[in-house]
Amino acid sequence: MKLRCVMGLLCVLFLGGCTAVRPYQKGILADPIMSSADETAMAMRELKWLEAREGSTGGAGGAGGGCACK
Amino acid sequence: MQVRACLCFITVLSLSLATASVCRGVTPQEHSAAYTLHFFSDADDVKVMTHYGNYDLQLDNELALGLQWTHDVVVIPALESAPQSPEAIDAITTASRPISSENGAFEDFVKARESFEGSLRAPHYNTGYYLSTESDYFAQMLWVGYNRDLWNDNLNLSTGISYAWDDIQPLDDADTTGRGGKLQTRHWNVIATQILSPTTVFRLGGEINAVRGLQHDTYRNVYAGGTNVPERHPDRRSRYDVFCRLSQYLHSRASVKLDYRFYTDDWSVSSHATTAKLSQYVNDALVVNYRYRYYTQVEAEFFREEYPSISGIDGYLTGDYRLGGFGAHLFGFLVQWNMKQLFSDVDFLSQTRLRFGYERYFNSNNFTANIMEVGIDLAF
Amino acid sequence: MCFKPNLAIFAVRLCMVLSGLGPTAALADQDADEILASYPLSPIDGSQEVVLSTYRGQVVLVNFWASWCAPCLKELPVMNRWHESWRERGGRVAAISVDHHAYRAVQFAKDAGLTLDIYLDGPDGLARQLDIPSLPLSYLLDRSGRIALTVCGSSKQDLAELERVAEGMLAAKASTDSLDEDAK
Repeated sequence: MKLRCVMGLLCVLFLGGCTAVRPYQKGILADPIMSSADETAMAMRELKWLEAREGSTGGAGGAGGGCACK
Repeated sequence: MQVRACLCFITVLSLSLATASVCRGVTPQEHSAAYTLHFFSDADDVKVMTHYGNYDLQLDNELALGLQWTHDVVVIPALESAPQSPEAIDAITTASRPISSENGAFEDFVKARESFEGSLRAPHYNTGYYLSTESDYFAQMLWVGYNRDLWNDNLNLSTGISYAWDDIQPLDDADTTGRGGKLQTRHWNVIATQILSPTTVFRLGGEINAVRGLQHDTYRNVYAGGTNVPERHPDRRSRYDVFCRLSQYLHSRASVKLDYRFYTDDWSVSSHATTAKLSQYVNDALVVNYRYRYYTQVEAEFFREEYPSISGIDGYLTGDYRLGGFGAHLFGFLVQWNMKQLFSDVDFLSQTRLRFGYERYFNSNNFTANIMEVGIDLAF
Repeated sequence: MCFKPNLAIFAVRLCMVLSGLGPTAALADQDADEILASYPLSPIDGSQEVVLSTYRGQVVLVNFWASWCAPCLKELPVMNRWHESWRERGGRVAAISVDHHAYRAVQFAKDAGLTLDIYLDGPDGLARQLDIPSLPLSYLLDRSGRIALTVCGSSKQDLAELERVAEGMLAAKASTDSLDEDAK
């Protein structure tokens, strides 16, 4: 039941992607307050001291989406 | 260990220079550098000062070279008591500090760590090498990543693997009861980033870590069966986590980001971490970020507050509170100031950005910490 | 619990959802040439609106860019040099910014010392009407205002192709003028 709820939520979230965002509409996504580039570096720094204080790890990295600039 | 660190650093630098020379005839387009000072202090007066230096070189054939250097200094305050005395044993963790009468029982214990990292990034690939060295720990890691944009660049899929190998040699100390050993970590991740609308991005990812080797603290003893015995953890640990993030732009020139991470492993530790972050433009040059994080953890299957016998639980004993059950809160702010207007006439400084942040951490073990960060980013 | 059928149902659902992803933006009803010719553009200096049909008789390079698009920022100085070189030969460059926040386009133009024609249009104007497929995007218009070449991207090859075709059109005009002179 829980698994279905999670899968359903994922479907709904990805359903929102049915309308593809065009390249000229991505200006806001490229704004520094939306971008994850800086946050990856900060997250890696934070993960280091959090791992020394907590028993878990992960969730800090990852590549981001494209900006449609060729 | 220091000779090995120097040799490895020279290797990293040589590989970087070799890569750059392979690209000779290619004009470097952009350089950027960043420096961050990170300061951590907790309720036990343990202080960690970390210096981070980054340098990025963008080449005109879409390759980018990255170098990072980190210098950590940890200061653990001295105990005003003789080694092996009850006062010299941490009442919460039953750990004995790595200070002996040979090294001076009343001196602060200071430990330094150096790390270096070199990476190469192309539009769809990235790879790198990392090493860190301290007096009793030498770690190295190699990684490779691949990412691809799909569906008119609305979906980005990335995956990466890494292999890390560590060499642990505890300091020769009267309190040290454990032997050294090796540790290997194999890591794999896959991440999907989906643009949902011109103002919304959703990210979903999963990671697996397979850890093999020495995983307990060689300096730590555990009070069991009426005596102190060396800590013993399993030498195999499989760690899994899934995470997601929703980023939403708000029309007041602000954004909100909601993160969630679920972690579990085969030691029965599981945790939930939820973070909310609000970023707001004060004016064109100033951004303020507020953050709150809530963390809750379930204990490891062999974790006990007290062990009835020296055999522990299935032969394992731990004095590490990190494997226990607890909850934690973190909140703070970060200010970012773009100094373009101040240095618009100075080309070198026209893309300078200053950062200042403060965070407060506390958990249900009555542990509290203050974290401060200042940094400067340069692009030229 | 019978897991496999549930997983199959989920997989089918996910495929149905993901297969719905794709470009769904409406295409322009009118010909792109006509849209480009008649669309009113606001110059960066705040002066009166301009339509590109005003420049009929000239070779015009129309470039869509944004201050957040790194490849766009790299090619604009190159196009600025073209603009200065073509002015006296009957050519010009019109750079249309699709920035959501116009002040960022203004700031970049000022910092880079650009002298070409810059227009501020935002993401919901001409770019949306034409539904441009990428950023940067360049349309090279011939002297009658028709699109002679469309280039998506800013690689060295893309810029070289643009320059080659534009120079060819400018040279053709020059030789036509020369023949007319001889005929007289």
